[in-house]
Amino acid sequence: MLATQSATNHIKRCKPLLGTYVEVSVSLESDDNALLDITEYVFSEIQRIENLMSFHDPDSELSYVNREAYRHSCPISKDMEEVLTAALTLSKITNGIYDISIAPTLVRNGLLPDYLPNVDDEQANWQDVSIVNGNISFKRKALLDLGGIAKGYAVDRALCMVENLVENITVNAGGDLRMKEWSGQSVGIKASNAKGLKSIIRTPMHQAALATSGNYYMDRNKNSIIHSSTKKAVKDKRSVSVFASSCMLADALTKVAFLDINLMPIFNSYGAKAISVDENGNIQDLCEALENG
Amino acid sequence: MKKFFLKVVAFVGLALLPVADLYAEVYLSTEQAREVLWQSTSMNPVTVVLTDEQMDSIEDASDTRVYNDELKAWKTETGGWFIIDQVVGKHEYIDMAVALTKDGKVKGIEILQYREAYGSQVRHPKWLAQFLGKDHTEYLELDEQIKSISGATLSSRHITEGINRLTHTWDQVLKHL
Repeated sequence: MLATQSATNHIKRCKPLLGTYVEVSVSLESDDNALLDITEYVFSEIQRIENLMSFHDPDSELSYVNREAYRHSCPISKDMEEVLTAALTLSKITNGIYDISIAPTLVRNGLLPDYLPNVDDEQANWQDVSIVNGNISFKRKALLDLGGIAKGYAVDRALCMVENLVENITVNAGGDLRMKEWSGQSVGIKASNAKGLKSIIRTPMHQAALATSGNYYMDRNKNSIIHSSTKKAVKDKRSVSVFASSCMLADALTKVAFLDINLMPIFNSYGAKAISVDENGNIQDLCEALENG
Repeated sequence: MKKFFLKVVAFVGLALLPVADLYAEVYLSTEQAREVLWQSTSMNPVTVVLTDEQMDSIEDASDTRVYNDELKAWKTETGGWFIIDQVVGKHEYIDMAVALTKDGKVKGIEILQYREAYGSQVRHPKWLAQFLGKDHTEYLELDEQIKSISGATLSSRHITEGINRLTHTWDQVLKHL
């Protein structure tokens, strides 16, 4: 870890943030202190996004929106507007398969805390959310959860803020990761079976960002991937990984790939690639799987 | 009695279960974490050995298992603390550095080592706890080209519980030292 004047120095740190373990690796021709300072910026930006978008924090901007947007139009930050607009666009393209208003079901299933107004999970959907000139309002009572997409956004924001200062950087927030110099790099994807984790499968990076969704860390009867129309949990032993240009998009698209394989053509329009890893560690390209029936 | 039972479980576990593949990731050294959390603030090591009563009392107050009666702690010249501690979850086993202010508030947390068990072994906090303070574990050898790993998101709630245990340890023990 000791630096010399001419060699590239590396540092890798990890902190508990966004409800998971966030790992930041940077490479730069400089001393440890300079690298540590850069990672401090990265972690503080991630903390800032968490403070805005956490469902678990009653004082977050998201909790404010969930409490108030049904009663009156609420001004929101640029960050919140960007994430919500991306989420609603994806809802529109997928005919509501992707829907951030699924939160009441997650609250009912005990996956999210229950301190916000009681909302019937049959009531609202993404079409009840309206954003106009930086203001949000709900047409019906609704609860939004930005879980995965906010995690991806935090990774994107943090990486973009410092990428011009470093030779390379990787930010990995509990499996949602993005690299500056991704071309030619390999990553590991965790494969699981019913008893738990089994192995780490190596695969090339196809894009700057990668996100994975799966159920192997969840308690047996809990599941965080919910079908938006039936409100039923998806029981699937595979994990799905998506490569995309941004981590926010990659995370959101993992849910789409899990929920409806017929939506794979939209992955092409985003330049994204989806793969699944089964219990035996076999990798399948989901776009090819659809083409081959 | 409870501790004796734990030791027996750990011993039987070692004898009967196959050696685990633990995937390990090493981050900052203790010295680097100290620099990041407390900069140049000077500090002295303090020997802290918890009594059975204190361990029980901290377990009750924090609702978290206390595995270790020894605390690796340093007290700063400003009355704050620098603590190296372990957290054992269902999947993960972690070394972390925690800075507490003189009022027992969390000033910062740094993960030093992250280990996760692979293979088909039963993973359970007690099973992972047998590796506490040991270095002989066989770590899974990753392909050296793999620099990052993606997977389903693992909740860091065991860290939250560990921090809760340490703030109660401060409240019951450290603040009187």
